[in-house]
Order: sequence, then C-alpha cells, then structure tokens
Amino acid sequence: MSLEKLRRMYGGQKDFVERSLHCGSEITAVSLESMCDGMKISEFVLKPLVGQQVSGLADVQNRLLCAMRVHSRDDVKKMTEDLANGYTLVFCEGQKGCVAADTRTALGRAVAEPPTSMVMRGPREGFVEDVKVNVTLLRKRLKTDKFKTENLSVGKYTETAVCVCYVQGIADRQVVAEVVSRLKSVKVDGVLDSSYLARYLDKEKTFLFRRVGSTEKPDVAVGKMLEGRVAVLVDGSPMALTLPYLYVEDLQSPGDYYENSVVTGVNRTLRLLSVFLSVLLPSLYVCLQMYNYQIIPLKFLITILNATDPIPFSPLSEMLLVLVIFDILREANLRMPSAVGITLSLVGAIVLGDAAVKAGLIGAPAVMIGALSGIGLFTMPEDTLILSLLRLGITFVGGIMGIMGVVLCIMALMLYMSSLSQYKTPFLAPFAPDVPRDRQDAVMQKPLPEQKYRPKSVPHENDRRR
Amino acid sequence: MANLKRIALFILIAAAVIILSVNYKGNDVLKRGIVLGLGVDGSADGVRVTAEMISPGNGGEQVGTFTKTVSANGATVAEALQAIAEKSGKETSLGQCVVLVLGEEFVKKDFTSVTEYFMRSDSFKGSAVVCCCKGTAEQLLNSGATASGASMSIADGLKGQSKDVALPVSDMLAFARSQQELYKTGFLNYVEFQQSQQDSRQSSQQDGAQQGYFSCNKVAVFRENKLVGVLTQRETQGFALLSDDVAGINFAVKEQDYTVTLRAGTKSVKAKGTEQGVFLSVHLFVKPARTDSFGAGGRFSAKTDSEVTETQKQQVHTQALEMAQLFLQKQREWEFDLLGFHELYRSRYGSVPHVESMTMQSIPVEVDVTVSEK
Amino acid sequence: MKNRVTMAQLSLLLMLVMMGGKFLSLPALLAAELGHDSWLAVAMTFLWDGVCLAFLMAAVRKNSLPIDKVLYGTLTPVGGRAVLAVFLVLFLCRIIVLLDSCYKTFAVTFDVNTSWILFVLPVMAVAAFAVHRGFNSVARTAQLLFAPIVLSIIAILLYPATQTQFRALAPVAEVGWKNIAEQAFLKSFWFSDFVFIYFVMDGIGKGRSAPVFISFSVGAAITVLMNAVFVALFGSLAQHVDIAMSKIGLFAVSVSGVGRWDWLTFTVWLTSVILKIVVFTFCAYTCVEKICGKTFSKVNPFVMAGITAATLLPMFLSVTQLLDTFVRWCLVPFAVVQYVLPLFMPLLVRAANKKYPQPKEQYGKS
Repeated sequence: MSLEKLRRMYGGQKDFVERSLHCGSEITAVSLESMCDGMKISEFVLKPLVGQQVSGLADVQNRLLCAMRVHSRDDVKKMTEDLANGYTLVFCEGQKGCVAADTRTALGRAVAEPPTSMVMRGPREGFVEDVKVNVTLLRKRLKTDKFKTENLSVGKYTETAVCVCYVQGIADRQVVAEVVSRLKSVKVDGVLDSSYLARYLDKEKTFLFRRVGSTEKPDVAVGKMLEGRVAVLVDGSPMALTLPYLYVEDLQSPGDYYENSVVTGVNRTLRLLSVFLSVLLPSLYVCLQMYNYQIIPLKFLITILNATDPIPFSPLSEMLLVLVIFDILREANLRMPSAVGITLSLVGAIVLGDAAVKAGLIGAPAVMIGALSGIGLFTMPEDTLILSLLRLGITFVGGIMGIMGVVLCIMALMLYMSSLSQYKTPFLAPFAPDVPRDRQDAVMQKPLPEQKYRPKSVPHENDRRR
Repeated sequence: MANLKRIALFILIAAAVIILSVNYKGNDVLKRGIVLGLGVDGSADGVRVTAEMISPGNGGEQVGTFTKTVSANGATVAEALQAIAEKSGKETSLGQCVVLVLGEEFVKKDFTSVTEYFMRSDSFKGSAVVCCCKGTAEQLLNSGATASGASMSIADGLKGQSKDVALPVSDMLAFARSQQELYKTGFLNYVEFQQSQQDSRQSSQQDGAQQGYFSCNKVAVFRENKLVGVLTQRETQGFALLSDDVAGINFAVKEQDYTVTLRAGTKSVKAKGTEQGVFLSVHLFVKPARTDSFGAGGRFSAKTDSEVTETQKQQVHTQALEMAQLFLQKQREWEFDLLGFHELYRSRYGSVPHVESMTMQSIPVEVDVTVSEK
Repeated sequence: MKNRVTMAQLSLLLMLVMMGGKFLSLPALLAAELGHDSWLAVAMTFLWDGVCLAFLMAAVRKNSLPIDKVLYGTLTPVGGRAVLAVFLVLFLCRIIVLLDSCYKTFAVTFDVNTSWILFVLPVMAVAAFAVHRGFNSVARTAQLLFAPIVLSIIAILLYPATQTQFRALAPVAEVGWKNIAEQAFLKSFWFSDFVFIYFVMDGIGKGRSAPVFISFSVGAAITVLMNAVFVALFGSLAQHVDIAMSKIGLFAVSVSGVGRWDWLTFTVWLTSVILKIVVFTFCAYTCVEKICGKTFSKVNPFVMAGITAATLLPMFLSVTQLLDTFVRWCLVPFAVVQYVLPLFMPLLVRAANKKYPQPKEQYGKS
C-alpha cells in the first residue's frame, strides 16, 4: 500500500507527520512539517473532515474544496514529489491512492529591487527565488491570454521547476520548440540556478562571451518577450534567462528605456567607448612604449619618459602587474562584506597604487591606465570577467608583437564573434550582418513612438508593434 | 592521452611565445635617445652632427622638458649618429625629431648625401622643419634660448608661419624635390640666434647658456644642394607676396601725421606661363590691423564699412610692387626659380629640353598687383 | 552554410579588398615607370576591372553552382582543374606580395625588427582561423571594419589632398598612352581583386548588384585619387618611396608637438590588408579543396600548412625577384583567369546550370 511505502521511505524523518481521524472510515493525513503551513493543514484539510462521515477518497476530494489545489494521486513517486512541495496527502483506509491538498508554507523573500540592476527611473521590482511569484510578476505586466508558459522539471534529484514563457503570436514557434526540446533533453542531477541551464541552452560550446541573456527585472524580461524572445524561469533563481541573445544587449541598460532617447544614445556610446578603452588601452600603452613610441605626442612622451625612467620592470611586466593587482582587488572586494570592502578599496588605492609609484616600482602612467581601463570594464557589469581576460591576453600579445599583435588579436576576435549565431540569430546583429532597421535600438536609439517594428534580428512572427 | 595533448599544447604555446618575444625586437622607449633636433656641420673628416636629446627627469617628480646636446664627428651622418649613440649610451631615435638645422658654412659645399640620408630614413619625419643657420648648427642648438630647448623653439617658431607672418616654410620633402626637379633650386628658412640685451644681465636658467631668441625672417636659396645666398628680409617678403600659399603680410602706410598698419590676411596669386613670358597677378585683400592678434577677425568676420582709403591702397600697391620687383631682380641675378616658373612651362609643354634650358634672364616677368578691401 | 554572403556584404568586402594593399609599394613601382602619369595606368586597369566585374556579376546572378562544377562541367575536369591551379598560384603570389608589403610597413615604419617566418605565422594563423569560421564571418568582419577603415583612409588622404598641387600631373599622358597601357598590363597582377567572387559565387544572396558596382567605383576612385596625390606630392622622389601610404600619412601631421598619430590611422587601414590576405587565403584553400574534389569539414591542417609553407618562399627568394621572374613568366596565364575568364563566365555558367539543374536556394535573409 502507498501509505506503508511512504512510511518506510520517510521512517525516522522527524518532520514526517501523520494524523489519523475517524470519519466513518480511517483517514490518515501525512505531510512534511518543514514544508507545510500548520494553519493551512488544520483549516483546509482537517477542519472540513472532522466530525463528518466520509465515504471514500472522492468524497474527501469534494470536501477539501477550500484548499487552493487538490488532486488525487496513485503513483508513489508523484506522492513523494507532492510531499516535497508542501502538499498534505490524505489516505482513506482500504482505498488505493490519496488526495493531495496544497498546504505549502510561504518561503522566500519579498519582491524587492534587485541589487545587480539598480535604475534611476523605472520599476524597482525584481524577480525572487519562487518561480510562481516570478510568473505572477510577468503576468501582471502581460494581461493577455497570449502569454503562455510551458512547465517542465529538470534535474534528477532537485526536480527543479522550469517555466518557459513567451508571447504567442510574437515569439517564433520554432525557437520556442527548440528551447523546450533542449530543456527536455538536459540530463543533470541538479539545477540550482538558471545559469546551470544557460550552458545547456547554448548551441555551440563557446569559451568566451555569454550567449544567453539574463535579467533580474520582470519589466526587462517582458520587454524582451515583446521583441520575440523567450524567457526561461527557474525555480530557486531570481534570474530569468532570455533567448536568443545579441551582443548588443550588453550595451543596453534597463534604465535606457525610461530616459530620453538622445541621452540613451550618448550613454550607450560612452559604454561602447569605455569597453574599447578598457580592453585596448593597456595593450596600446605597452606596445607604444615598447615598439611604436613615435606615435605618442612629444609632450606626452616626455611625461612618460620622466615617470618611467626609474622603473625596474619592462613596460609589459609593469602593465601586467598593474592589471593582475587590479583583478585581485576586484575579486577580494566582491568577497568582502561591504563594510570591509571600502577599507579594502582604500588600502588598494592608496597603499598599493600610491606607494608603488612613490617607491618607483610602477610608473604613474601605468597605474592611471590600469585604473582607467579597470573602471571602464564596469560599464558592462555582465561581461567584466571576460573583458578583463581579453584585456590581459591582448596586453600580453601587444607586449610581444607590438601593434601588429593587437591588430591580429582584434581581427581574430571579430572573426570569432561574427561567426557566432544561434536560434537563427547572428550574435553581432544588427552590425554584422548589418540590419539597418534594428539600429533603431542598438547604440543610438530612436524615440519609442518611432520604433514601429520589432527587431528583425530576433526571429518573431508578428512584425509590427501595435 | 588527453594530458599528453595538453602538455604538448602548453609547450607549443610557451615555445611560440618565447620565440616571438625574442624575435620581435622592439627598442624600449627608455633604451632610446629621443632626438628632438639635429644639427649638421662640416668637419675635417666629414660631418659633425649635433643632437638635442630628451634627458628624462628624476623619479617622475619633475615635470617639463629636459634636454642635452651631444655632438660627434663622422664620415657620414649615419656614422656620426652612431658615435652619438656611443657617447650618450642610448641608440638615437629620429622619429620625434622636429627640426633639422644645417650650418651655413657646411651648406656652401654640396650636401646631397645629407639630404638623401634624411629623405630615405623611414623614421625621420618628412614634415620636420629643415632650416639653415648662421654660424654652426652646434652653436645654435647649444644656445639654450628657452627652458624647453632650442629645437622646440625653432620648430614652433617656423611651423605654421606661412599664414601668420607671411614666411614661406620649407620641409624636407619640398626641399629634396626642389633640388632634383627641373631648375634644381629651392629654399630653406634662415635662422639666426639673436642675443637679447636685457636678459643677459639677469641670471640665466641654464648655466653658461645665453639668453635670446631665434630670428627667422630670412630665406636661404639653394641650387643643386649648394647655398646660393641669403635673401634679405625685404626680398623674402617679396617672395612671400608672390607665393600662393603664404599670406598675412603687413604694410605700414602713412596718413598725414600718423601711420596705419594694413594687413593682407588673404590674397590670390595667379601665374600664367605664355610665349611672351610669365604673367603674375596678385590680388591683395587688405584691412586695418587693429588688434595685436594676427588671426583676429578671420575669414568669417563681419564686413565693416570701408575704412581703407584709396591713397592707402595706392601705397600698398606701390610697396607690394617694389617688394616683388626686388625679389624678381634677385631671382634673375642669382639664377634661381623659387616660384616654379619652369614648372608652369613644363605642365604646359611637357618635359622638353627647351623648357629645361630656359634661364631666368630669358623669361620676362610681368607683375600686376591689385588691392581691395576685404 | 557558413560560406554564404549577402550582396551588401559582398560590396563592402570588395571595396575593402580593392583598397587594401594598393597603397603600399604599387604606387612607387608605377611611378618609377610612368612618372606623373602613373595614376592613369591605375585608372585604366580599373576600367577593365569594371568590365570584367560586370560580366562576372551577370554570371553570378544566374548561377547556383560552385565554381568547380561550372568549370568541370564546361571545360572538362582536367581543364577546370588547370584553371583552378592557375588561380591557386595567383592567390599564393598575391598573398606573398601582400605579406611582404605588410612586413615592410610593419618592420620599417613601426621600427620593429622581426624575422619573416615569425611575422607570417601569426597572420596565417588568423587566416586559418578565418577559414575555419567560414567566409560568412569574414564578410561580417568586413562589415564591422568598413567604417573605421574608410574613415582612416579619409583621415590620411584628406589633408595631403588639399595640400597637393595637381598641376604637377599635367600634361596628361606625357609618356604616351601606349606606354601607359603596357604598364597597366604588366602591373595587372596587382589588380582584379574581384576574383574572390568566383569562390563564393554559389553562396551569394539574391539582391540587386548595384551596390557592388557603386562600391567598386568608390574604391577605384579613392585608389586613383590616392595615386594622383602621391605622385603629385612626391614628384620625382615618388619612385624612391617604399611604402606610399606611410609617407603620405606624414602630411596629416602638421604640428610638431603631435606624435605620429597617423600611424594609428594607418594601423586601422592595415586591417584591410590583413583582411585581404585572409580573403585570398580562403580562396587558395578553396582552390585546393576543389582541385582535390573534397570538402573538408574543419580546416585541413595539411592544406593550411602547405599554403603557409608557400608564403615562406620569400625567405629564399627576394620578393622583387619573385615579381620580376615568376610573375612576369606567369603574367599571361594570370591575365587569362583574371581578365578573360570573366568575359566568358556568363556563357560557362549558363551551360553548367543546364547540365546540372538545381533549384537556387534563397539567401539574403539572415
């Protein structure tokens, strides 16, 4: 019998609670205390049954109408899933199967502003760890029957609920089908966060660059879904994944859409510029100093000469040292509690930077360029690590081969990035390939009323926004 | 197996990196002596080259340009530069060189090898100022007129002068071309160091260095890489007047009891080579120079009411004509062709022997100057 | 299909490939022969290039077959392979010449000493990577680089062009049209950059071919202008100048305090030369593939090593020697595939498509 099986499975578990009632026949309610709300059990399960004459499981199910969800179960495996999800199972003596009633306790935090994507203007709600709440947050913004979800569970042991959300009639059917089939084919023992699935959703195994978008903000997710993308919500993760993903999305910040389009254009240009600066500046500085110093304007060259004359390191090792120190500081700052973090930045900036320059170990221009390039990285917070790696690599090659090496690195990087494409979407669209219409919201932004069409680069079914 | 692959890959990359870094031989900027200015003089064994080089300040705390001059002899410029490198302990780098000074005595003899060396040098900037100086180049570079060194002062003094003070400026390319093509005459700016009287009493910034300024309002004429002579200031003005790309000549004209300065900020020069000779027509647009800034009230300034009187225009006309005639007279006397008359005929008739053999005496020149107010 | 390319991409790539490499040693070589009329030779060759391009594009529009099928189907497999072999040699020669100019520019202008082999290997590694990622990524990279490269050329040319006295170019055709035409033919090896279209002709998307001709004309105009500026500016010294672009760049810098920032713009322009090397390596690789009759799924290391080995030839033979002897010797076969084959392409394509009828795929939307 199922109840016996459950008793054997959960025997010895302190939170496995059994409650027996005599209501015509022997009724047993079992639940996992840790997952359930005691009030809900007594209100929605026990109260309707106490003192009643119950004829069978079908009768029980009818009487438990007050509970949010009620369904009957025959399979023991499904019963354990229900128990783990906070359901109370009601067994009737002599009958097969049980009735499961929703008595989950409200776990998790309240909806709050996500710390990773603060905005000056615009909604401050962020996703939470509960997938149901997250779906609610999306549905709140998409009051249409076209908003569809496909529910799956992934992970052998975690049985994590995964929800694929899209707007029917906008999202490309093939893309939705492909995302769902990819998720179904995932064979893994556990999924603890959406980033686990991001790796499975990526068609090509890429070692650089993220290929799946992620956001903590429901407004951003809805915005992307309205452009034809698919959102994937994962229980236990406050990050929604969005697919397909374009590199240009990295430039876009949620706040951009609530600002004047001119301001947005300027901001995005600045972001782009700072990325170029942060990746190329150290390498250019090194190769200009080592090979091509004629390029440097004379007065600037004199300043550099004055500053670097007593430095014992070669320009390359000096710059690499600065970059590695910067990365160490950044990593340490992330791990530190915020109160200590400030101290750490001060120590890093003053002790390491200033003292090293004064001691004549590192030249002031190198520190300045390292710092400038470091700050530039953070304009694209999602890609900081990758950009930092690229920066190190290009600096190294630049130091070995001079400006030719830098050029070759950039060429290789461009060839690589422009060859990436998945879910019918080229990674570098709308620039390579050039999609003129999509430049309405790439770096420069057209005012929203003028953006009448959905981006061509993202596959979709309904072209016109209206 | 996978491990072996990884090790092999690692060794490959490491080897590539090492070989590459050994093979790409850059010369670290600190290992190079950055030359700001070069001077070339004659010596018993060939040439004497003086290089003004940057000498980095101490410990990054000091700001400013610190220079030192090093001189050495050699049979050729390359040899002398090598000797300079040995003396200073740093390989010389000409990439930042802003000025090349040739000593007056030296250029009286053929110095083709020097021009050729700098023309062929890939690191020497073709746009660097080339000039000829009174005395020796070594003295000039050592004069230490300003804190930032002689080279920078000369370069700043000469660069961009053609539009400000009507001084034609020559660079390496223009000079080298002029010595090879058709009439084989060209010019270089002539720089003199003028010691200033008041400053000599004050304590100088650099011990032993004289205080003064560089005067560069004359032009030295060359033919086939030999000095022909130096034009006077008035003749140089005549040259400037007749050159198309030079503007900004000032004319002092007398009213009844005071003097007015008129400035020709823009002008147009048209040259026509015909069977009868060269016809030059110069049109000057003058206006009163009433501010102390040369460029004030430039191209886009508002039109003012007529303030230049007809008599003033007449005076400008006379002066301009006089300057032009002075220059043309010298041109005929010394047989040089700075205005490119031969080029006019060449572009019309092609490189025929008749054009090449024309002497300046045989080309009648007619000048017409018109003056209007801008 | 990682080798498909849209009409827009093709036109941008054609323009970059046309301009890349022609501003290095070619202007001086022409100036040595023709003096101030050398720009006329350039213009003349471009004129013929344009005619060939028109024929080739007419063929491409009606085609759905790769080059090997077109050639084998009409010229027999042996004849087709012979044509492809000539192409292979042509591409290898051009890669070598480009690498040599690039090397000279890099080593001389940028004041770095390096050995040929270690200069060539990294460039060829990037080219191999491009072959691996497919022609599509090369075309997209051209789209990305287009604006910076064109801007850099304008930055380099603008100032000298305003300073140039074009009077120096008169009288026109002083050396005689016959001489100019002769030199145009002798230097034709440097031109006909459109030949790479042969090797992607089955992957070109449908669309109007007008952009291709517009970009060809603009590219040709800029190149002719660059030659005219160069000859007018340097006059009789032009023939002694190694690398035209780097010398012209000097004039963009007029203030003494400013460093040689023209070299930075010059470096940006240099990417178009590398792009050209990449495109030609791709073509050479495809040639080998077609001659062998196999399509390798990934980059075949042996083929790539072979091409790279060929580029190491200048270690044993100076490039001037190579040009003087080898290219002169091959000039006629080269000219046949460069300038005669395109004229017959529409006919060949028509015959081949009749022989192997295939529904043409619709590209162009991506």
